[in-house]
Amino acid sequence: AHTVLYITGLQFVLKLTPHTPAASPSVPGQEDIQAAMPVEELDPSHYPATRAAKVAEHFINTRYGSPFAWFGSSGVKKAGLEVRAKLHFTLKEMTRNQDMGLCSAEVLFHRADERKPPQVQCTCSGAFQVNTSAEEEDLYQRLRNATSLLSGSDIPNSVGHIDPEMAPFWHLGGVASSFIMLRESNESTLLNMAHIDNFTQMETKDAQLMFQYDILLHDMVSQEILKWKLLLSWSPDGGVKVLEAEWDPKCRSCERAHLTVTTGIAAEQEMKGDNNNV
Amino acid sequence: MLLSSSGFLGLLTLLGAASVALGLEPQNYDFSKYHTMPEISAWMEQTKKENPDVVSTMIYGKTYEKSNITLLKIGIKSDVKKKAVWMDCGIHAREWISPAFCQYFVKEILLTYKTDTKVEEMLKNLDFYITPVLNVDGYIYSWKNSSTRLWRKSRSPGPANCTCYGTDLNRNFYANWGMVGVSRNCCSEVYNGPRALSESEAQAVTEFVLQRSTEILCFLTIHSYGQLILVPYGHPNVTAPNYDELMDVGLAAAKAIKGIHGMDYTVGSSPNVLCECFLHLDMSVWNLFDSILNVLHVFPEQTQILDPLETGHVSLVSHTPSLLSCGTKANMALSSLRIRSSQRARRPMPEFTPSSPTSMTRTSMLLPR
Repeated sequence: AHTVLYITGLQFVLKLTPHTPAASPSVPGQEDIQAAMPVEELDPSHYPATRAAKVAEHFINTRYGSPFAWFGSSGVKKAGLEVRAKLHFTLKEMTRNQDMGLCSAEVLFHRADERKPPQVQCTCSGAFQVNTSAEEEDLYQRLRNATSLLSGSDIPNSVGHIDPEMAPFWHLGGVASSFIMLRESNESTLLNMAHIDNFTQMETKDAQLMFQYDILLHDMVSQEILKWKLLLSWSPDGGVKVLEAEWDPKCRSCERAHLTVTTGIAAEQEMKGDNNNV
Repeated sequence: MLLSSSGFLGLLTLLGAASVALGLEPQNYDFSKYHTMPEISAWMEQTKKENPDVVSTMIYGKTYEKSNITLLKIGIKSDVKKKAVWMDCGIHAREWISPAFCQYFVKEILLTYKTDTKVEEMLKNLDFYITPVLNVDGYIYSWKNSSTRLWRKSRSPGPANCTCYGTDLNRNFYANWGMVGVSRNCCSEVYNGPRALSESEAQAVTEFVLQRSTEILCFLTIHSYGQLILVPYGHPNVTAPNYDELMDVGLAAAKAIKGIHGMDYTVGSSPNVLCECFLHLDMSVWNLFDSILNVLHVFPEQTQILDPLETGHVSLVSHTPSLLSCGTKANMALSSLRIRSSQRARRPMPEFTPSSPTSMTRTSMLLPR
């Protein structure tokens, strides 16, 4: 069975394996209705702003990321908190260290129901879309015409090294991870991709290239390393899509280790019910 | 980036040549590479041998697996009792750049104190207690293979009903233990242990520092990742009495880094900047003695801008060629701090008796300016 998730208009297909409960669709427009609150100015260097910016970053990557375009926030300029976080941040394309100008975003965390992924709206000024068509086409053709399927592992290695040949697949993993990290984010997480254990190119009949990735994500708040298996597709025309995603807990008894961190906000950070996405 | 790295290496070579000319024989230790625990231990011994008048080693504890926890004591001998700076690296096993920084820092001060009057003055006024690797067991484990590379905690076994190993040493100190930012799940990366100071590594630091409560002026603990300079305290509801001063120092450090390297380091207390997760070393140190001035977490940057591969996002695993530049940046941060500590050290300080662990409201620890 497939579950279709809408995230502010971007549609992708997620198939979840039995022991990971299905995610519930998040209907655009449906949000926590709280009493109208005045906008609270946030310090751009404080964590509520940086965490919200991280979510916006993941959102941008899901829409515009590719093996040659991987985005990150290079500094929150201004932030305010209402029911949602409003942010202005400078955007950078990381593979070229290229400044992409200013973005403004609204990140809505569903405080009442943490199972709902955050909702993001974002607009960026300037020439936002990076022209990567030449490199993408080049990589795409090379892979399609290759006689064997590509794979790689341990990226980066223990001393932080990434083979230049592997770099686009590191970026691709990062962009694909953003789909997961966007969905898994809440006000108590700050997620980054930490490591690619391995990736393997899969056979396909159609125009899309397909890859199986074993990825480690890192949550700065709980310090947990989260193991995810992703099946993703990519082509210059089709962009990056996550077809399947499965979380692999580090052990049976510690499935919910990363949910049990006590915080100043939620003293009742107990183990959530089985309906939780993670 | 490559240009600045080679320029910097050029400078190092010059300095190296100068030190050879002065009759010093620097060992051939590559500070731009990560080193195994045996290599680091050998380097510490060799450093002591090469600088017998300013360097001594002290074994101040044992890890769970019974390895020695060793520090380097660095300072110019003095007839009067000196103040000291504590620095520990590698409390979290996977943060390899932290021990790398400690080694780099030691190398820097030993290389420059005979030619740089500021560094010389600092070593005259202060002793440095530097632990290159605090979590020895964890560090060794993280070198085993790629599946252990991201280990964080100690290597003590979990409680009876738990199959997971390790306690987060930076949640194990006796300071509001277990209050916030921890997990009671022993498989969690922030498991705080069965009780406060259950871990011999945390005990060792506590005892050492407690015995020198009137001596230690400044307490630094080096972590990764994230371009952050964190000032006390780690608890969301407690503000350090000298918070303004701490912020001044932190901001000066960040400015120095920005000026030379163009990198932005964020300065603030950890509950504001990082998380409501209560970094223990801050609180425990405050509880332990009154005369503490500064507790700074310095987070060397990871592969963001200076990585020649432009891999971009912050990473737990720092790229080797960036080590040197990372070292200089953190060094920059510390140099403004060092000058400040050095100035402090020369002022006469009233003697304090250590406060009781439960006392949280005393303001008498504010030192006269």
